[in-house]
Amino acid sequence: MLSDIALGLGNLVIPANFIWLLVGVFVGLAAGATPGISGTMTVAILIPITYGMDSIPAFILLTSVYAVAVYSGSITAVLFRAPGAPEAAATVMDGYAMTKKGEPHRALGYAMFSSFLGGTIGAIVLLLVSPQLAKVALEFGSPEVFSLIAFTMVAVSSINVKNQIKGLVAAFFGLLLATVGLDVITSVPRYTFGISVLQAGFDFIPVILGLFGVSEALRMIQGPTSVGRAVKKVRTVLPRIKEIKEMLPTYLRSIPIGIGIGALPGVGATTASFVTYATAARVSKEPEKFGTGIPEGICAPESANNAAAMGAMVPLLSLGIPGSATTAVMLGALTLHGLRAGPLLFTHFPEFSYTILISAIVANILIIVVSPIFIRFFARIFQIPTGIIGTGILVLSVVGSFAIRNNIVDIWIVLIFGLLGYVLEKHDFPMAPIVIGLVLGQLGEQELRRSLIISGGDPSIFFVGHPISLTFLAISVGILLIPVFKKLKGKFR
Amino acid sequence: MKSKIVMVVLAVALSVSLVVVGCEKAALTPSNGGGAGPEGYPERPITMLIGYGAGGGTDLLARSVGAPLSKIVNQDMVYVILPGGAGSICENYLLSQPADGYTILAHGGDLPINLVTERNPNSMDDYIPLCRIQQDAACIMVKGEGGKFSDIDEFVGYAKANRVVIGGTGAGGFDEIVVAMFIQASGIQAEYVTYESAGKMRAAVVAGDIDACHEEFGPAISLLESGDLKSIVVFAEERIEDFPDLPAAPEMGWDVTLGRTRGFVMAAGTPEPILDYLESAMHEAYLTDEYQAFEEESYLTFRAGWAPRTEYAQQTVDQLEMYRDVLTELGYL
Repeated sequence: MLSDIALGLGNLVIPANFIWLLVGVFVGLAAGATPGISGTMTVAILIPITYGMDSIPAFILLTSVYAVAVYSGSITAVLFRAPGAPEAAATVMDGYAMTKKGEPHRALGYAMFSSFLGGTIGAIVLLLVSPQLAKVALEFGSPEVFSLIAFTMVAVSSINVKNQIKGLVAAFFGLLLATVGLDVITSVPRYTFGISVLQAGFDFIPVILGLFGVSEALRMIQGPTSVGRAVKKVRTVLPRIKEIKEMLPTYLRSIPIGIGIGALPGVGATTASFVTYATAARVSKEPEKFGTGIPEGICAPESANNAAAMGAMVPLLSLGIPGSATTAVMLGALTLHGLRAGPLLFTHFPEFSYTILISAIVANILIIVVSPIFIRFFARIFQIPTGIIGTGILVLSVVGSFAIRNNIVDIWIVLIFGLLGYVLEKHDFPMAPIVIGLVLGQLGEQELRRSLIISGGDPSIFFVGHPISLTFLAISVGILLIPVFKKLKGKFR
Repeated sequence: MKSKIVMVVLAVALSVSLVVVGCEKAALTPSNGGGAGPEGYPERPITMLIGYGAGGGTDLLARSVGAPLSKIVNQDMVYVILPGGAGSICENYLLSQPADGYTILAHGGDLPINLVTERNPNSMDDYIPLCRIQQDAACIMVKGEGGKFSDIDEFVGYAKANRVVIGGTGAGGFDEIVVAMFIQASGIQAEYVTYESAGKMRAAVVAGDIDACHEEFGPAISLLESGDLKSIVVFAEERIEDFPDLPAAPEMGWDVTLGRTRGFVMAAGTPEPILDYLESAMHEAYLTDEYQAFEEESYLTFRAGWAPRTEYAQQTVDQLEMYRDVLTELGYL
């Protein structure tokens, strides 16, 4: 194995290959930072270009785009409240709040460092224990994933909201949005009102660009907001050693969770970032501070999503089963290059496999080297009056929403949700539970119903013989009961 | 001074993005100019509509045929992915475009099903199947190493006494129809469960969460080779050369030989000369080494792929009638 790693490194220092890696990093940065252009799309667009290339440089390019695009969505999330990629949606909450406090450089620094750390560790884990991890991931069947999501939804309820009821209303509204479209189990249209394109349901991107980006743009257009005044100069400042030490527990928790969730087939980095955000809020001593611009709220999702992106390659490489949307596209690319992802890839093509894994590690490391240069491009934007920035965000959000699936209805969706977000925030409804409900609701519902079909309608499938599921549910019930116990204790004292 | 820098940055950013756009075209365009077809067709790029996710079977079909086709007709191909509703949203969109031969639907085989279930409100008369490119063969696959079943007899024997769960992708779609026909023909007690991604479904079989799944060879080949999955019966008229030990459904006395068909579909009203021209261009693209190599690598060569317009149209109409019967029986209609 060591000789294979050396071979991989040797391949990477060949100038032609290294240049492709750099190209991948820059394309990934640009694509991730552009709302509506996700890593998945960019990889799909690049595949025809790689037709004529050898498989090694081709996959060095695709892997580095993939790894870096997961990070760079956070740049626009932090600066403009418009996440450039779905994986950065959870970063909006505390990232933009920190920018509002006049510290965009710190927020960018935390996002950058966390992505680098999560991605690099994720890639190293991928290199070392992929096959073993894939076996563990298989233990997560439908009941386990459902219980994990149930746990996350419960944990989210503890993220501070000024009014608990409003938080619950927001969460249920998000879950309701997730039900729109053709029901995945029975194919019955739900809440489509005869509109054909709604059969596919709400895409998550236009909703989030509306709720976060457009609503903020509307405020900016109204007049100078606090952001315009607070942000004078944008640079990146890496967190200090002391600050990193403070984040250590967050990293120790978020990165393994991220890798693990990434390795689950069909779950992905976006879910991982929300799960770790919710978990961070849950275990925090000051959960009320989440959403106000604290570093934990950036470090948890940002380290987790890059770790999960690497985790998603675990089932791809060791089982030929893609862990996420982007890895599904990469699987198609492998086929077009005559390679077969799966248990035999490492034995048949060790040179290819290890070169790709090493390039994933290097691409993640390059995040910290290259992105400060890249962020300078954005730095100048804040010299423009906020009204014009607002218009720019509006345009980007609309174009980005359309670009997702070339669907004209998505333009209406982003605008309607923009207005909705504007009104809801005026009335102190939190946005996070809406988004989390929408993202996790669909998956949660599918897994719940699939579990019950498998068990023949017997709900014991969530408890008996499924210890992982049982644990998650038990913790969730515990979380829900804590306030009740506290009240009871108070009464009987 | 500062505004100058902003301008420079903007100019660089814009030119980079232009170059990126150019890259894709460069990779696809052999050269430009009028086409070789009737009255200079095609004189501008042709759009290929893909109703399923990037990297899936239909996406790969469009791109692997599109690359040689682009050289043959001497025009660019533009790929538009419009997913959702088992391809029905894309099928609808085709009809919203002018029937001038510049929009082609890459068809993953769900059109007749969507018409029967009225997910697509139009009728078969609104579409012209142009040609069939692929005819896949699917299997029932079970867990390989350490699994419960070593062959189809064991599986059927077990499933007659116990309830089993068979996975597929899509609800009320192709997989469910085939599985329902299989359940009925073999007389087993089984329930169908849908997965939103085939990868997840395969993982569920390997993990032992479900008993079996309906799957094609290509996407599962690495798991079949490693022994994690095992096919126990193939839905084809006869055994397949590459898998001589794998029984075909008719041997077991089951008349289930349905395989997913993929091809290209145009909107009704497209001028006849353009249809003729495209049909022969498609055939030429199908025969290129480039495309044939793709079929070989993707395990799509087990059954005759190519079928011309008349044959493909007849097959689609036949499927429509059969799906109507099966879906009525299943309670979907």
